[in-house]
Amino acid sequence: MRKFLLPTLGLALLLAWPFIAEKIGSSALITLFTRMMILGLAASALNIALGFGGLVSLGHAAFYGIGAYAIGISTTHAISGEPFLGLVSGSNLLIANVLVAMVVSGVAAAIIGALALRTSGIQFIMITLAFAQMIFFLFLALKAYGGDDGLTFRRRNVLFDLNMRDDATFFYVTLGFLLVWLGICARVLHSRFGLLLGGIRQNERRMQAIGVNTFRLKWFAFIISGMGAGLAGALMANLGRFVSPDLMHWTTSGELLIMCVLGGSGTILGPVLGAFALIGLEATLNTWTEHWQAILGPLLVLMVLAFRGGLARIGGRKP
Amino acid sequence: MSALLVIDDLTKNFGGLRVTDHVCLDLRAGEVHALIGPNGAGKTTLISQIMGELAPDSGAIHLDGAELGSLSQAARVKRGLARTFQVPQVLGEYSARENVIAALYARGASAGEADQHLARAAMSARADVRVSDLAHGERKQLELAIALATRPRMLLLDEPMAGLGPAESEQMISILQSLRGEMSMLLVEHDMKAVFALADRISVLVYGAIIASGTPQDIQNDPRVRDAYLGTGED
Repeated sequence: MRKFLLPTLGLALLLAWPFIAEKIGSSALITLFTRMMILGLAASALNIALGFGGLVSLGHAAFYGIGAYAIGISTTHAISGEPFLGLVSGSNLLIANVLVAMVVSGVAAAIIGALALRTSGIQFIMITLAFAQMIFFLFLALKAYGGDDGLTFRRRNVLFDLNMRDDATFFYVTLGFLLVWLGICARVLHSRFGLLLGGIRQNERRMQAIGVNTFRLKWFAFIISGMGAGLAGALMANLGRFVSPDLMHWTTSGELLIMCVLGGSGTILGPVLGAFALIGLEATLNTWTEHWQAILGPLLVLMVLAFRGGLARIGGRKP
Repeated sequence: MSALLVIDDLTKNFGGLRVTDHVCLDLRAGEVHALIGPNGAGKTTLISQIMGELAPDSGAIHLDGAELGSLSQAARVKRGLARTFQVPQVLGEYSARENVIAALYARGASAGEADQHLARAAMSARADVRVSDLAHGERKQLELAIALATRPRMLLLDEPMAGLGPAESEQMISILQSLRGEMSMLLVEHDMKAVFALADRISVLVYGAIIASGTPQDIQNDPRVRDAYLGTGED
């Protein structure tokens, strides 16, 4: 019962948040919390590779950015009426664009994973970082889609008859996607696939000795993880109606890693808690001093030392 | 008895060191074949080559007449090979039952079978204990239960008695006795009491080469084996 109490209270708070933010007269807090949820979703996606599979990737910003660009490019083509590469017309429908973003990110993860997963440890970290930087520089040079200026579109994608211009509506849409994603994560963790993946993280040699094709399982996990990051990128593109190569800078991958570690990698809710904690701290310290990063760094070190195993494991809980 | 596993002229070098030297070995269906020899003789390396964890430089391994060649470990396990490790390789964050379930899932079987494999390895009472809390001997027994869950035809046991006390060794011998006839076993072991209690045949590996093969009595009486490994009993 206690296990469900805090997640239920958290969900209730999120459901009430747009009303609370309006009451205290700060509608910007709705956008801030939407951003937290999107980054929580991205961190949760990374957590499938990192926390469940033991794959420390510094390349997830690439999948996040690819998801965002899929939205930007599709929406831009839908507005201009010109087909993409003269073949495929764009769309401004959220569900269609999100599916495209997840598929494209998944394909990118499949290609990068097929190569990167032949290495392990520090080599895996470096090769995922290298691929992400290659993609970052590719989009930086892609003048057709804005280059380093990025790509701006006027309206968020359409979802049924909802007023997507309204920040509160988009907040609830994002919450819906986050809950569905967390449900998928829970299913993965408690499935045969999740048990075997956890086994690989603990002892790959043992898993090979019982006949598990460990490469294939890690590859599937990496693809699912990349698709989740693509979904988060698609939502972030819609939130700001803007995409730029900055989204796929390596520091984004680093932030997602910090969120996982801070919240508790290998737990369902940990990365989301980590995202709320990190973005919340950033936003708060930013209002106090322009040298907020000098405070944030030591604070994060202290938090990680104080809450070994992450925020989600405080008091021995593992939501 | 017909040969289930045939090792034919297997050779493996680590740089300038020859760790497997033209090894030929036949393991018959249903028999317990012990492989003994001093530390560093290449016993574990031989097991790793049979399982596909290490590739031999030359020679061939046949299981039931089919050459294993470059088959992956996963494919070899599906064909009926299983192994245990000298230092237990277990999943520390999972319970003993979950460790066995992982092996069942890898085979595509249901988790319901787990208890019968734990029972055969005398681990029923410890099924729900987290593996990091198990004693060394219990981990050895758990490894056996995990191997049994893969339904092996040929079980490669890498020093199952290593680190066990007398009572635990007795229990392990009794568990292995109970499995006799259900599968073939290649028993790599230093504990001669266990070897002579279990083995139908024994091969002796010294510096990567087989120097003798035969019944336990043949091996005990072989002067080359006494010189190289067993000793003469004289000071």
